[in-house]
Amino acid sequence: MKPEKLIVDGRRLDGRGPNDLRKIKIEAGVLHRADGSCYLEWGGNKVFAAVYGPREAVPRHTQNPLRAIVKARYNMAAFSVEDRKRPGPDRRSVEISKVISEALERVILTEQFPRASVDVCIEVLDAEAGTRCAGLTAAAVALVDAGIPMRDIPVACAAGKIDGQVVVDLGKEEDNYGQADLPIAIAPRTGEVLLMQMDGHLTVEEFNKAFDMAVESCGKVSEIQKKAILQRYHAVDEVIE
Amino acid sequence: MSDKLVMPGEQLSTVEELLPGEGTFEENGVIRAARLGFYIIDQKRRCAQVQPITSIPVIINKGDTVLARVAMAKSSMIIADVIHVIGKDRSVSGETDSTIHAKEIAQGYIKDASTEYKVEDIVRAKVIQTTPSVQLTTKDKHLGSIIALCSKCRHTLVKKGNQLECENCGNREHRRIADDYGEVDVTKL
Repeated sequence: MKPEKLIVDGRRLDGRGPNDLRKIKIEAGVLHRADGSCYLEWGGNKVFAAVYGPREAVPRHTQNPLRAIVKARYNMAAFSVEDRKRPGPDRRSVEISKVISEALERVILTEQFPRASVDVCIEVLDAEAGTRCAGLTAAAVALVDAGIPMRDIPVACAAGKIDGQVVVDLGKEEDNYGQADLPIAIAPRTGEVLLMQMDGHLTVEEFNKAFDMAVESCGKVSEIQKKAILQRYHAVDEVIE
Repeated sequence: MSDKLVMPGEQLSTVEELLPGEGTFEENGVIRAARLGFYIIDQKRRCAQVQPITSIPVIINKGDTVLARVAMAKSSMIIADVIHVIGKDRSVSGETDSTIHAKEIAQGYIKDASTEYKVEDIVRAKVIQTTPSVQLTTKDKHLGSIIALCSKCRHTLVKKGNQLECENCGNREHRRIADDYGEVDVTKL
């Protein structure tokens, strides 16, 4: 049911301010059969990411003799949404897989692995708005865990407009009944934009504001990513010291 | 030496000071970490390296002992797919096509390579070249076929004296075998 207002007394429905993120929990190296993996909880989102490879790209006509290809597969579990989702790829998940693949390809040193493919599987177990950002953020941690050579650790976050106000990290109601959604992914070191999509309408001023707020939030998520990676290898750190 | 833990993208040094080594990349004259690990400087080679603390992709190097599955047996050479690098716990990255030339099969003269290995045999071999193509050798008693299939009924051949015999159909076959043929558990390599 649509709420009357999404912002009441300057606070959003879940009590957050415009610049506040939902609670994020990241754990690296959770799957033992994968080369690298990550489990991420972002608000009500629960996402697993697994990385395999680089390994020989099949079918062979997909191979690039000069570099590796990145194949991300974003999939939502049938039980991840309120109404049962029909299993298998659909238009939305094929699109998200494509944009995530292209975003990750920009940071992976693909030229080191000609003819290979880096396979990234993103499984959304529980969805509550912003799953593409959550998936990409989890995939980035899984890539580091897999030891894949990268230029940077990519990170994603969304901004949007609700009740005429620009806010970051839209929740479920805000995403459904808001006026705009602007998910972006960046390479935090250089600020290079790896992914940017927009749903709804924003003025140029609102867009610039939303973009700046999303980039700032990406910085916060990036810190959480790095902490999670360090936590995973804390034991190794102690042994070597 | 430095034992600083570095993240991908972190600045390590500059090209004026050091050479970019393993686990690093160079960008606009700056050497950066390409993987998670400890930053070390190889003083002898004046090279910046990142010693990984995660598992890293497996690349076939000269001198590695590998397991290869025979894909094609010709009279002049054997074409095989490298399926595993012994001592590594990850699948092989990139190029897996390899060849064993007839002269690299055994110490003696081999007239026809296809008599020594047959399709689907699992061969333990050593890498002698990686570029432009992966070349293997089995010129050692520990190298050679470790699993061979009967060419008539596809059951695993069992070592009986110097010959291999199929326990299913009684077919006898010849292979260039490793000294521990039949004793290897491939799941534990």
